[in-house]
Amino acid sequence: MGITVKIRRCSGHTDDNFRFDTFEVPLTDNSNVLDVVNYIQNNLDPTLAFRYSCRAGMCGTCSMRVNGKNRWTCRSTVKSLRSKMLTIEPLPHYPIIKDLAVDMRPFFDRYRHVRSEFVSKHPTSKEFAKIQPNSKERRDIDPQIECITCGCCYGECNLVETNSGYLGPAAINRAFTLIADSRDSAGEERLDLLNSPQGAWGCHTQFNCTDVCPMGISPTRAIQKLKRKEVGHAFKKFFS
Amino acid sequence: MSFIRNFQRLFLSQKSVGNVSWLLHRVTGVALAIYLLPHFISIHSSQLGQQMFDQELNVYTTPFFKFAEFILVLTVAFHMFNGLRIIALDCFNLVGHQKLLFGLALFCCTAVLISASFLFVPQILLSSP
Repeated sequence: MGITVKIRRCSGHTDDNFRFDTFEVPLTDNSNVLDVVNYIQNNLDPTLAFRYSCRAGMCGTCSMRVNGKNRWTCRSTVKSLRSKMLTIEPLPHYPIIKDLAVDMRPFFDRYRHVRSEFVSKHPTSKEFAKIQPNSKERRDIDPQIECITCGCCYGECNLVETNSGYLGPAAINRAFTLIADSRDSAGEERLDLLNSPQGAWGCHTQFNCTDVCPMGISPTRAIQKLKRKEVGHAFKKFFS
Repeated sequence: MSFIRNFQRLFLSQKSVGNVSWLLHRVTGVALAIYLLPHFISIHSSQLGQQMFDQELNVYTTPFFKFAEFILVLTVAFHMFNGLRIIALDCFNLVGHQKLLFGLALFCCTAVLISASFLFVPQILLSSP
């Protein structure tokens, strides 16, 4: 059992001079896409560049565009793709370092820009904050916190390309989890920061990020909730 | 060429529900904006006298314009129902049901299509030369 694999190759920082190389790769029942590119690098073409680390779906470094959709390759079995051929490309909207390895700096720069770190209201307190598991706050935050920063959503979002300053789904989703957290003290600052076309209002609800998130997170849900919080925040500021 | 290639890559290569709805909403919106110009000109002719207005309206009784009117009704229907879907997504916690809402919008458009067919198809056929 084997499969034909087409890989987009590119040696520079621009993707203007690219080509597709084709390989025949043997498969086992549970082969995943990362096994396939590993096989190519180990046996067919040692110059193939790509990035991975944990192989367990935790680190979020092995994301690639496979058959037209951004995926975490370590957890995407070839069988599940139901295709006789694999086309593997680097994640879109990122500068390419080489072949399938992309520069994640634009993603993490934006992530840092929204103050993605937790800023405690009571940094010296020895008491644990008591937030009930069934509280609205917990129910708002819980579905949004499992992000592994794989960058699939940023690569799939059209607005990232058409609106150059747009912060992207992952960064806004992270900001939302902190804004909704009653223990955090930088919420207002983040609300001010995201009240712009580059922030929450830049999202056109295309749901591309939601469709590709390997963790099943819906950044669109966070962004929509954030838009409502922005309206409340603006009213509060206006009347205060 | 690069504009067409980029447009194809960005907006036509992803066939997700959200992307299709976004694209159709823009296309119908632009179409309606373009329609408004001749619409205003026609309405303005009513200020130039009854004869002028009747003459203007007679143009729209041809099969081509009857068909165009039929398409206009569908365009308005999609833009309205999808607009309501977008408002629902913005104002309420319905993001998890966006595909269902798009299905509902299409269902309502189909209802309008069938109803409008009863009105417009005989008119188009009867006004054929």
